Amino acid sequence: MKKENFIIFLLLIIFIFQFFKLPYSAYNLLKWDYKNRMIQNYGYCGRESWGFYDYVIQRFKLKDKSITVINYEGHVTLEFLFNFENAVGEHYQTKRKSDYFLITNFESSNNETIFDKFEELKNYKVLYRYNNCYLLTNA
Amino acid sequence: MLEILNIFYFFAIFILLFSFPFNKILVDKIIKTKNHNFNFFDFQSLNIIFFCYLMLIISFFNLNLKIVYYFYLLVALIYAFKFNFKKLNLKKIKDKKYFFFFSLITVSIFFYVAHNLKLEWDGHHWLEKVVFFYDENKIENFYKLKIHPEYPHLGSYIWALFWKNSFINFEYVGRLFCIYFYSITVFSFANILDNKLEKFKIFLIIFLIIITFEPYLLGGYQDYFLFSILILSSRLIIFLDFKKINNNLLIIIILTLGLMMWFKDEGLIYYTLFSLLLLLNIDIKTNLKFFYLFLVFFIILINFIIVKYLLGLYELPSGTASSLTLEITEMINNYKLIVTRSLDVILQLLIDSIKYPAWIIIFCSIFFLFYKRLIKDKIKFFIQCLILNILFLYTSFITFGSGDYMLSVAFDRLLFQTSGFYLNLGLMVLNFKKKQI
Repeated sequence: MKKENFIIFLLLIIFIFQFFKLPYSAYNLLKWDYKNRMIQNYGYCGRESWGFYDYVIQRFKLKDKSITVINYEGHVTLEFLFNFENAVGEHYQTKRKSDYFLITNFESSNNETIFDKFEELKNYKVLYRYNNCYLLTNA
Repeated sequence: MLEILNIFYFFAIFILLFSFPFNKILVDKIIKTKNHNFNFFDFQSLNIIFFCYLMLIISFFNLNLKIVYYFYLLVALIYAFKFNFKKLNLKKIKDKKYFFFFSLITVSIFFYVAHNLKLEWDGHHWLEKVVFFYDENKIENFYKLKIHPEYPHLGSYIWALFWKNSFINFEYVGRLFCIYFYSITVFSFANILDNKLEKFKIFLIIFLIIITFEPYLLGGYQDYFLFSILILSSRLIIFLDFKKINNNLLIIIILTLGLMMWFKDEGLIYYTLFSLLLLLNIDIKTNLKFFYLFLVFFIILINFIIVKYLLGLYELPSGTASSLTLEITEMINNYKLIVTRSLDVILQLLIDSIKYPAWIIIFCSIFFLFYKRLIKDKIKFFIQCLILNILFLYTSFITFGSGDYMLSVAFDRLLFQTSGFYLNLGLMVLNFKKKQI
């Protein structure tokens, strides 16, 4: 290979590395496991709140429970990603009667509580809360 | 570390899986000439089309995904051993160079997606179908899905297949196939370039990748499938001699275009438009033309019968649903609305052309070809397709109930899908300039 060709070849490789951020992605794959990367991408209790889902599902064994998920900020809900057996995102729920409600990114002002905004859930209690993410149950 | 190994493993697996059944010997027989420049990337692309059709058929039989995968892998392995890996057509030095860059680019995008593994909005909707297949539910229950069960399922089936068969069992592994398909078809497409421009080919490929790489659409969207199928179809159409038709190649092109309707609804429209225009533009006997017309509609009929009677689902593509008549009546009575919406669509077309610079290249190429009075044969065919394509987009978006919203979130993706089909106009300009020099 001629010297000029070799230099062009090398420059192209560097360009591809930089364009797709290959070293950065490789470093991140080595440094962070899948769970951490999911939280980096989806948030723990913010945006889609993957971390909160992951935690409460494991702690309260919700996989097969009847559950409604609501993202108060309007981000997409993650019921399919967690492969719940019996879950539904709020958009598709016509009548709320699940045993559990997983509400993320709840926004409130002053002394407003989650039950002020969701009056129909007054019979539910807070099973777990992390910042503005809630797991409610009627059990 | 395991994830990195998994990425390399799947890259190798894809090469192996898609080295079967088309190779140089078979393609020579099908095309009936050895005078073609088909190489490794073309064979792999054709094999992916074969694989997709096979997976489509298998998807209706409720077979275990692991069995399907390992059986296909076994057949591919036997095939590779039979041909002693020599027929992979990587013997020439220049092919090795392209193979190196192909590996580098593809693996880089694999890493990119493994790092940025977030599914975007529609990706979560498709994911429901993926999980359906991943859990090995029966296809008869497909209609029970909550979100758009009427949408085509092939992309989700293949996604589930590779997800299920990865060592690490992470969802994003299923999406690597889409990246491989995209990458290999772009490399195949670059073969259109005149041999005299060989030394610029690698720059062209990298340029094509830069202008068509859209990370957002790798977040679970199916648009890259349509893009890849169309870019491959365009490569095959360029090879097709319109005046002396190779019937086998024409059938392959029609089947390739027909695959689109199994990935996305709008694929049906593209398939119908492009296939019919292709038949109108080629020189063949009338009775043969009727045969191909029959074939085109037969493929649509098969799709209709399967979706309606096997899956129990059928709904006209979005924007042409039952409310269409009402929308049109409303619009006819209100010409101001037509003007406003038309302006909105044109403005969006301009904005999205900037977002996807492939369209700037396409429009500039058309301008150049018009200027040089080169609008004939294949160029004429592609421009006819483009006109009908834009008309389809225009009528779809002008009749959408929530026009503004849909324009802002969907129009760009629809433009992106088809950009690959017309990019060859840019290559034709390059080839023309070379001939002039």
